[in-house]
Amino acid sequence: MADYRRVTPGRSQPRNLFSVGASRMRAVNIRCEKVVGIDLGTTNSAVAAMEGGKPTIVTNAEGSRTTPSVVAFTKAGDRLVGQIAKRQGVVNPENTFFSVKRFIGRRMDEVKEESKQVPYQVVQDPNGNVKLDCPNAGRQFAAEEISAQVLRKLIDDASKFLNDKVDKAVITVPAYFNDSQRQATKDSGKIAGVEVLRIINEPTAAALAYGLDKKANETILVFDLGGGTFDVSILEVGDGVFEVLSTSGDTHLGGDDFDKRIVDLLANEFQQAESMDLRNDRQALQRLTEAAEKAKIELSTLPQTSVNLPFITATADGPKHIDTNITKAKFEDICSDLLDRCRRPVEQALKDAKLSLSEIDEVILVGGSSRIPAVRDLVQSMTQKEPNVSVNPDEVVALGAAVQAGVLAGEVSDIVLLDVTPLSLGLETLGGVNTKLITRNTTLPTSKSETFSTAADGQTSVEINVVQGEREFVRDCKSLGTFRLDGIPPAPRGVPQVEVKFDIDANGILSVTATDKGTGRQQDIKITGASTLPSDEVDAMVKEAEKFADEDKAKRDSVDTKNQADSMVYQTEKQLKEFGEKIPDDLKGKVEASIKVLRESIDKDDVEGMKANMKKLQEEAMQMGAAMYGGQGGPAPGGPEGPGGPGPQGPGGADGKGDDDDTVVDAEFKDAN
Amino acid sequence: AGDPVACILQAWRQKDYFGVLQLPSPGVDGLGEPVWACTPLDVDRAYRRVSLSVHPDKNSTPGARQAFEIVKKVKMMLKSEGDLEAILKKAAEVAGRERER
Repeated sequence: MADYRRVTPGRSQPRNLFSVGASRMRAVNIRCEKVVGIDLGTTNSAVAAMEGGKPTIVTNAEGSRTTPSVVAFTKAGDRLVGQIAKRQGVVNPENTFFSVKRFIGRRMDEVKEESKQVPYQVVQDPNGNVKLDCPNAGRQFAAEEISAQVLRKLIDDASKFLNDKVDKAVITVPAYFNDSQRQATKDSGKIAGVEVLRIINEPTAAALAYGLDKKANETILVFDLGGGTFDVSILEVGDGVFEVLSTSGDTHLGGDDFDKRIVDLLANEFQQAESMDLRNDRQALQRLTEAAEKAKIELSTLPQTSVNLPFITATADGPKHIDTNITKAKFEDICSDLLDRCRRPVEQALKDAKLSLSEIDEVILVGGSSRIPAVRDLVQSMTQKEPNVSVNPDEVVALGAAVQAGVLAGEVSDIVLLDVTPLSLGLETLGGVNTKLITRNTTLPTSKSETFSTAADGQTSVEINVVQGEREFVRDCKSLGTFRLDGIPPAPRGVPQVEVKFDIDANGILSVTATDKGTGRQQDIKITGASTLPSDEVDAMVKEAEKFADEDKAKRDSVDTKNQADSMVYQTEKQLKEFGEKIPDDLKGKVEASIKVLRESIDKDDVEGMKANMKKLQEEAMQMGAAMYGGQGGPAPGGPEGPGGPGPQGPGGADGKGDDDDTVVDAEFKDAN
Repeated sequence: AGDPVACILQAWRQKDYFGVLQLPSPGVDGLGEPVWACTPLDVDRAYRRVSLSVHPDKNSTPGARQAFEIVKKVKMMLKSEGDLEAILKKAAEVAGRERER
């Protein structure tokens, strides 16, 4: 038998040469495509890329460093993303989708509360999964599709800013996201046409950005209160290794909840005075929500703020307005239970990391909601430490994602991220008990095998329910789906041995494989009942998104053509007016006629017609130009007649000329002189 | 020396847990009791150092993931008092036998 693994000194020489060549080729490849880090937030998103060895925020097309995670569909059928979508939310509340991150990868029964808080319709599809109804588009969207639109814009803007093709990204998710939510986020990337290199946890990303330049060993606690989710992670950072010790959180707690409290305060006050519930009026609710967010932000720096909402609604007595003041004390009072909910995850994370507060070196605040003074005070009183505010809470997550993107692309060496799975993974066993296979806070990647057998004689399939969560009973945990093991050879019960391997990859995403120990054969596994999209549906959405992109391009093209045609009509008319006396009448008539035809095609939005008529008008305008300059050379009446004569023949002869345009024009000039 | 992944896999097969983390092997004192100078902190540092070279994100060798999972497992063993005691005892026996020879 040949030992092909042995490398003789003679052979190693050419191998080295080859590898040098290969790495050089790879270096070229890296330069022509960038990997970006994306913080796909509940309310705002941000993008960063490695520039000169440092993570840098990429500004969007509007020049902002963050982009609202908002997608809207207008009556005219246009899709708007980002700031422009957010701005028209008040007048188009049913078709403006925000905070969709709260619905991604979820089943309807998990988000009953959230679905009531948004002005758009959240509906249940036949599988029990969440869909968002959009009257203007005349269809329902999965949350993945809406997020994909946001991602698409972020990527497009980034490639413009970086002047480079961008088709790979690292996307962040809350650390406490379960498998379905991660998978759904990955699907969003796929629908948007980006290759998602890695899903990483937001607090971990923040730690990466924070600890990039730190040399000494530190134990840090990241307190990440975002728009819709709350995470706490404890990491040990040192020697280039970012090791997550524990993670905890609450996926139903974020800045939106603080806004909601203000909305309720305002609406309740109004209801008392006018006995009318503004929350039933979608447009009023949208205005209240926006005013609440603004008031909350202002209360981070001011002791009191005023809320002015004129014409919020109308009753039989006439228009009604809201004009009131909110004090910081009142705000903190109505949010006190939300603040209390921030405590438990911090305590849990410390307990899981087997650390006491005194062993934490730094506390880092992340997420826009960490700007709320009451939140800062809470963190300070809990940890007895001045929180570190050296990082920008809106940008640090994207920066960290860019660092990880750099690590994966090989641009950043000497750094490795050791993250953990936030939730235990288990199986349903007799009596609905959750039997945990992989416990939470296990460093990824990780795998675990379990051997299954049959419960009845001659049984050929086993059904297994995979659950994620900490509770003892399956009904309190998230079911990731059930899968069937088929094709077990008929045998007495307990005899067949099927080894099922659960594997959590570095993305925190689970895959399941099974082998029949008897035959060594791989088993078919089909997971059903998951709250993610089936892969064929994702593929259909990818195609549709591509179609959307083509439509957008066509629409863009038509707008550009129309603008061009408009400006051409204007320019030519201006020339006719200014130099009218120098242009022969017959040419003038022809140009005027062409302008009229072009105008008609503009009014009809006929792109092809516009293009054809523009070409014709351009040719005639060129003759017009020639006539104008010709007129200068020969003011005699014969002059205009000269070009006038060959003029009509020119285009007439154009049938035959085609091959040599320039010489014909030159000849005309000579003729005129 | 050379490929860290191959080294780890080999050390694991030989049950040389200290070799997996590139830590010094324990010695044995005059009474036949094991002596090992490394603290849990040393184990942590060694774990991190080795992780940098074999974590699948840093190393595209096919065995990298397996090697990383071994490194993880060994770190846990060396940090758990019960496991460490048993490992050290075994190492002392081996060292003692070698000395007799």
